[in-house]
Amino acid sequence: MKALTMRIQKFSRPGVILMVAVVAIITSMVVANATQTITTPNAAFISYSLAPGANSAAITPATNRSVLVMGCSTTIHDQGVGQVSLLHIPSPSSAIEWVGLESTPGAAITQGFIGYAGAHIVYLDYDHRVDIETASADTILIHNTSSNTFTVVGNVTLIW
Amino acid sequence: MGPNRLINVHGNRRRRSVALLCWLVFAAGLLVQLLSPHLKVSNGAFVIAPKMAAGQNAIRPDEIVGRQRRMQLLSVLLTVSGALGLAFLYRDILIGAASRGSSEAVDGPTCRDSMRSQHLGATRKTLQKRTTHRKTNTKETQTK
Repeated sequence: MKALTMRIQKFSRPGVILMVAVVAIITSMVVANATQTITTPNAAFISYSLAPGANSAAITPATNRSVLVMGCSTTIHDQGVGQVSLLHIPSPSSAIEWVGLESTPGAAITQGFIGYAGAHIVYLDYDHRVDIETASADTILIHNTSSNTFTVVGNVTLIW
Repeated sequence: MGPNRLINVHGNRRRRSVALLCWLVFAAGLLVQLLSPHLKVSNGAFVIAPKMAAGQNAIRPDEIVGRQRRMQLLSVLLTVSGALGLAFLYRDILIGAASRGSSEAVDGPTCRDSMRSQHLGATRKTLQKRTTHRKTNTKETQTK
């Protein structure tokens, strides 16, 4: 360490300035990255691309707080958008409760209080083939219900 | 002379360990930064990687985001503490480099050796003064 200190002391001026600059730049990058992460609101953006009959990974919403789940389908000729406000009630009385609006056409109120898998929550596309369902009493998933070779793409945003 | 030297040795050892600690803290901050889940931020939302969303395991966005936040906070605290500690520890070198830079800007380039020789000259003068003082003291004692 003494050798290191002596070496630093013997550095030429450009060497010292370079070292200071490197430490300063790295620190600034870390600070910028952390600032961006800390100031970003609690929102998660999830893209999906689902083959017929396929499911996305199960998503566990935050518990005991309202979570806005809004999703859309960007599939050509099957665009649509739907949203629900959702409450995840944790165990022991695990359940998911929601209220929201289905995708057009025939946009109607969707609501429920379900503690089992497979319950429809909201449609995200025009043809009502892509929906968000309960995957269990604690999780939800995106499901492509179409039976033909129709891969659907889109995204879901969760805000809590 | 002895106790002073001992204090110097202790001071150097302390300074060395503080420097090592600062570098370690700085490196730990960078390590935490590297190990944190690298979630992309787009349009004010954390983007969950499609690979993760298409996998078999359930994903918990609130936990992923919370972990990312905690790790970033830890990383920034460690890195900034380390960097500030290093800046404080090597302030002499930094200020020296800065002042040399400014003096060069005003007076033109000055050689580091010339500064050192000036400094040595000053030390020599002080030593000569001390020696003369001691000699005078000895003479006075002998006279008494």
